[in-house]
Amino acid sequence: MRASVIQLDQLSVQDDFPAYVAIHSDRLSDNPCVLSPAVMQWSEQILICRVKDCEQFWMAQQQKFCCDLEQLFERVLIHHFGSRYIAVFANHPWQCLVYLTYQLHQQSQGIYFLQSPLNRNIFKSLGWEFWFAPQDDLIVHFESAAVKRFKAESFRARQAQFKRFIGRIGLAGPFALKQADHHAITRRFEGWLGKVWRWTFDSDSDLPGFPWIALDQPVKPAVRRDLEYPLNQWCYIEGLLREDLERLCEQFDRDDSEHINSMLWQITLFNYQVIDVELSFRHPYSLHREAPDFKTALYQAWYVYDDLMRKLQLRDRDLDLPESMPFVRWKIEVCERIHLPPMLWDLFGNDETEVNTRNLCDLQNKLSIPIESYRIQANFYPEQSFAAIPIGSVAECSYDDYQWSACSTYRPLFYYQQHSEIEAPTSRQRLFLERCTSQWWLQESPEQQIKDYFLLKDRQGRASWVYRDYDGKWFKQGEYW
Amino acid sequence: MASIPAQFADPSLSGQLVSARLLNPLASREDQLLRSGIESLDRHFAAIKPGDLIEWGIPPGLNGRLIPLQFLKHGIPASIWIYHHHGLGVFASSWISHGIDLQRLFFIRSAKPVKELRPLFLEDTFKRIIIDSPKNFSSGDLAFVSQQARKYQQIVFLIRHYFLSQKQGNPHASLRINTWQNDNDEFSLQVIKGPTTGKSHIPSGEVYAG
Repeated sequence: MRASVIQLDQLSVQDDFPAYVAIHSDRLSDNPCVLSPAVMQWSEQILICRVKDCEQFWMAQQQKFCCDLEQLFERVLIHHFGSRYIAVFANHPWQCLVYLTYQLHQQSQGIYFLQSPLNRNIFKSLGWEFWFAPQDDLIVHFESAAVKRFKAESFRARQAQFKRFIGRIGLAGPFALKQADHHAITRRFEGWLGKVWRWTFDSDSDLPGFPWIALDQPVKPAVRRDLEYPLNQWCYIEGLLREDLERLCEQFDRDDSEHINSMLWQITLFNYQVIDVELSFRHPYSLHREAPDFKTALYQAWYVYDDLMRKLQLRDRDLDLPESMPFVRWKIEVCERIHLPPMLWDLFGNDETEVNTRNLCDLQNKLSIPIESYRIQANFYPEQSFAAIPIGSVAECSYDDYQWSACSTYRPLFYYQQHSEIEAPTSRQRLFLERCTSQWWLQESPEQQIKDYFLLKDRQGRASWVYRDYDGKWFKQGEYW
Repeated sequence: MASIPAQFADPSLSGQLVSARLLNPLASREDQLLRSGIESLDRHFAAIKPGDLIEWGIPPGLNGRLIPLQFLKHGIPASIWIYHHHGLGVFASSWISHGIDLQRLFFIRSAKPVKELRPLFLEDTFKRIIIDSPKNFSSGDLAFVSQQARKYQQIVFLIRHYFLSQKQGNPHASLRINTWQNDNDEFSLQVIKGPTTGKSHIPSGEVYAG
């Protein structure tokens, strides 16, 4: 039995999935896109990945392997970089970089989540040197991105002024001055330092002013096709696309760890209008493994084609143009790729559930509509008594869910996500079911959280699930279908 | 040396078969593909085999879906419930409270399943497919779905939002059945097409306790 230990250095259930990770390693150049296709090269040995883009995928993997995020990322990072790496996860890349600088100074190794209580407390106690150190590379990136109105000399002068200021007032680190908001810093030390100040404390993952320079993948495999004659029938387009995907496959090494997140299909219409459409995959997709049929990619292309044709017909219905605008050429380019170690996509990853997760993910990639999967949650409040989870995740709880599920026996199978107010029913129409309340101790007015649930029957005998709130208003929340 | 049980003393082969069934009367029920654990319900489904399509008549508001749900409780293979009820989402904890294994039952929202979910019918990822009140479902769609079900040995539940009648038949369905919860705290079944037709009732307690 696993010991129940409070892990202060790990994420808790309430913590958000981290948005970014800064990785330090000597072997970065081998394989930069290991956790996400959205990557920025910060320095020769430091890489920033936007992992938020692949949150659903990593959460599914985490639940599939029944491990925590640290264990999952550790396996992947060791596979790619060996054991000599430092990875700092946080909601903002600047916070990753500041904490990474500290860990480099400490000569540490491994994974650090800045949302965890221990790392957060260390982060709050960091000295100014760790805050100023990454600013040298920041200046380089501001300049290489040709950011408007940025001047390195002026920035350095403001840095020196800031250093004199903190020396005079004798504060140990940025968090000692936290009460000064970024507007105050901007007024005194100009906007650039104000931005850096904001990045240090903000929990948002958006990047106001951060010089994000996406790392171009060294080779973007692409194929072009100039058609012999204009085409608008899917049956002909499909055959040619299949040939093109085969050619695309030949452009990169046959490597099973290579997965595609999205492809660009650039279509030139008969009137020489160029339209860019994206073939995107909910789960990383291996082109090689589907050769020579490429069913998944062709389904995605079909959805795009169908949608495009409808839009074009709607747009051109009053014009003297062909009813279905034909294509004269196209280009397919692989935009986003990710390297996944074999352990993440192996055939035997999910034996205990008897549901083949890979088949499910493959099918999901072929569908335009998401497959839904749910698990129970330890909560008596109806809307919070379950949660949607990625397909292939482990839906079973680590606790005995009987008491939580049993209270839903007389609730309906389907419910309205938007509750509509109804007229107060007569006492003959309704049958009391239960009284529910949410976490009233967290609310300012706990009594407002109380809801009385009833089964309501109309004249035709059709049953609905309704509730009366504390103010006596009635709402319909579900149907007994 | 092991002795032959007395029941097998009958020398004729058919007699031995009868004797064997008498020895273990539950054996055939154990092999039944669709089992709910409710005796009076299971006997209507004794002859269901892979590739069959079962049509259900369940008007909304009558809680009749709890009956097909009974067949998704016990060790089901990967299954999918296709629904599109306007503005309604899946209330998952209620399904779990009825004993449904949501590791094996998935959901997808579609009003036109054959058009929108074609890849789903072209492979055998799901061995049970429940099509709940499709908006557009032509006879061509019905023929396609039942053909694919036979090809991949799937079982398809087609739930209609109205009561079925013999006036409008369905040659693709091996069983057609109406279900609803009545005011007497019972669930009513009306088999329109099947080995035995007619009406029967199941106490609500059996459905909720199952």
